[in-house]
Amino acid sequence: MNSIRIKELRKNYDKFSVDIDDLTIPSGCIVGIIGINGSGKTSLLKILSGITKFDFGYVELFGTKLDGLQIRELQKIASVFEDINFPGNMTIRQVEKYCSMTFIEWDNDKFDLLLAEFRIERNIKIISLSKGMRSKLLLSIALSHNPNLLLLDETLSGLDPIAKDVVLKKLSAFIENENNTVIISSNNVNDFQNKVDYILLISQGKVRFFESCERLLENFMICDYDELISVCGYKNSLQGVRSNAFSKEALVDVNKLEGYKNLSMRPATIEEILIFMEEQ
Amino acid sequence: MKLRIHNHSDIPIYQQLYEQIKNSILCGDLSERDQLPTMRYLAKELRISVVTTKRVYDELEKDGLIYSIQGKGSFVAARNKEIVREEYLRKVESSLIEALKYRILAGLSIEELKSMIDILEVTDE
Amino acid sequence: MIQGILYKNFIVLRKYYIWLLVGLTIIYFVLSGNLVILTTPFVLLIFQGICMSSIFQVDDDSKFKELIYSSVGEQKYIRSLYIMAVFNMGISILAMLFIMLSYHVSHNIILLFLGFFTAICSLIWAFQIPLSYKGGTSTFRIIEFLFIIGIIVFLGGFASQYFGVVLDTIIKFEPVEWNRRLGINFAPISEFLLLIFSVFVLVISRFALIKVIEKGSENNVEKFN
Repeated sequence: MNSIRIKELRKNYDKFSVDIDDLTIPSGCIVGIIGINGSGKTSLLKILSGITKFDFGYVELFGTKLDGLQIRELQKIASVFEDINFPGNMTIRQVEKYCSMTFIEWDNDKFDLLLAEFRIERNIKIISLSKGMRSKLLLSIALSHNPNLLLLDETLSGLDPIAKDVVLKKLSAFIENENNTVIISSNNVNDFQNKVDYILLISQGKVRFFESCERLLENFMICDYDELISVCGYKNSLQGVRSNAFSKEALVDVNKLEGYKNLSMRPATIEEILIFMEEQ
Repeated sequence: MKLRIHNHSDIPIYQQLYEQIKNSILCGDLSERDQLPTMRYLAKELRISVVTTKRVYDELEKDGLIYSIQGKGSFVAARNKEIVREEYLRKVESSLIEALKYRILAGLSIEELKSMIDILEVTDE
Repeated sequence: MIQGILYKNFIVLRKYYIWLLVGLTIIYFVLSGNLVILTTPFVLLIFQGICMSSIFQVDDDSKFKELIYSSVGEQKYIRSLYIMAVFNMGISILAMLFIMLSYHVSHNIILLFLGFFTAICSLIWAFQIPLSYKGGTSTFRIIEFLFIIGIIVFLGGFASQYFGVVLDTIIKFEPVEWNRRLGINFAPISEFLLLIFSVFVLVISRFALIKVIEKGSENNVEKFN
């Protein structure tokens, strides 16, 4: 089953455009979106969450057009953004009341448990929450109205390693139901190593690739550039180059490379993949 | 079934998992018709991708070690005696190759090696 | 689903409602009748302006409105703005009525006031808002302008009967006489002033609605991020 289908999506901004030709995301997985700042990660997530209206194209969520979603269907999509928050003067208790009045499938018991787990007290005001607490609160809300799709924008940044672990565990548990999907963006790519199922790399509003972590780690290798060019037919496999004063390294997709047996290579980490590809 | 995954090992995760499950099946930890955890549950508990666990289960099924029933889950297949024997033969072979490698370094002749085997066999019983 | 938004709005505006109640109570009991009638409309004006701009500011600052877009949709958000604008206008009208009844303003004026508001509000809901959603802010302002002309003409007719008294009282006599004249002619003068101020309350409170229209029909230009 597919959770998201995008065709010829285009949204123009001042300095760049989100331009996605064809993208299909299966359900029951965690997709990590990586890209440098300003590459369009947040923009794409805002389009998918219904906050930003796009200019052209076709976006389908769970088989229904994004434009035509009823409130019940809209609430099956939960999003947590870095820059969006509740009014500063509201207390958590009031936020809870707001949620129970706004969300059709609000599960207050679940929210209680999550708040307890994250150690968030009800009497404090939104404005006094730290960045990490804020993320935890918004994530708790997102998980408490029974969504099928979680869109998380930089939710892990600002969390200590233990909290990150807890959150990732919750996301894993969330997709135990194969109808659920998580799309999470992060600047810290190492958060994703081994923890997500697919990686989506966005650069200047365009999708550079969408691959399973498995395939990426298996096929993307780093080798010496000079050694590489001696292999005939290497051009197709070259994904990126990085050089310093002492050496020049190349990122290759070994699936597209023949006769590389003698090449000395090491697997690339996801962070390296991002860096090599952006340096081009 | 005990499973341990090492994230930073040279051995790919799917391979680690594959080997460990296979060993559990072949050495009898898991019996015929035992139900395996769902691939999603496995992924969640081991903190790895469902794509990986799916791949492992697909390979195990392809190799005849497990079978799946739509809607019910995956189960251990009847232990094929041939597979088990083959596995153990492979283990003997690799140990012997290792022993042969070291006997030269230790300065042991083939006869001395064979006597060692007899001695060890007696001690083991 | 819109109850959540209204609940949040009331939390944000709670203190303004309290201040309004306190302020009006002080004015009512502390000031003398004339001043009450003169100051109340201003207080109500300020109240309405603060309420709507407070909502807009809070929603913009924290981007709370985007939260609403993603959970109930933009339409519901706009509807909630309407409800708040109308609710606040309703409070203002009630307060004004209360003042007018307390000071025994003639029933004719009160009925005129009510009929006036009802007519304007009906025209707003039936024509101005639907047309403005299509045509945007410019349409809204054109219709607004027509309203104001109409109000002036309509009221001008009624006001003319008071002109004589106002002129008599203020222009023709010396300042020392004002107090005495004011005492005699207070009723019609205050009623006249009340009418004018009512018009201002109506007109200026509409600017809150302009903002609502602007939010509704403009295509949000997203900042690049």
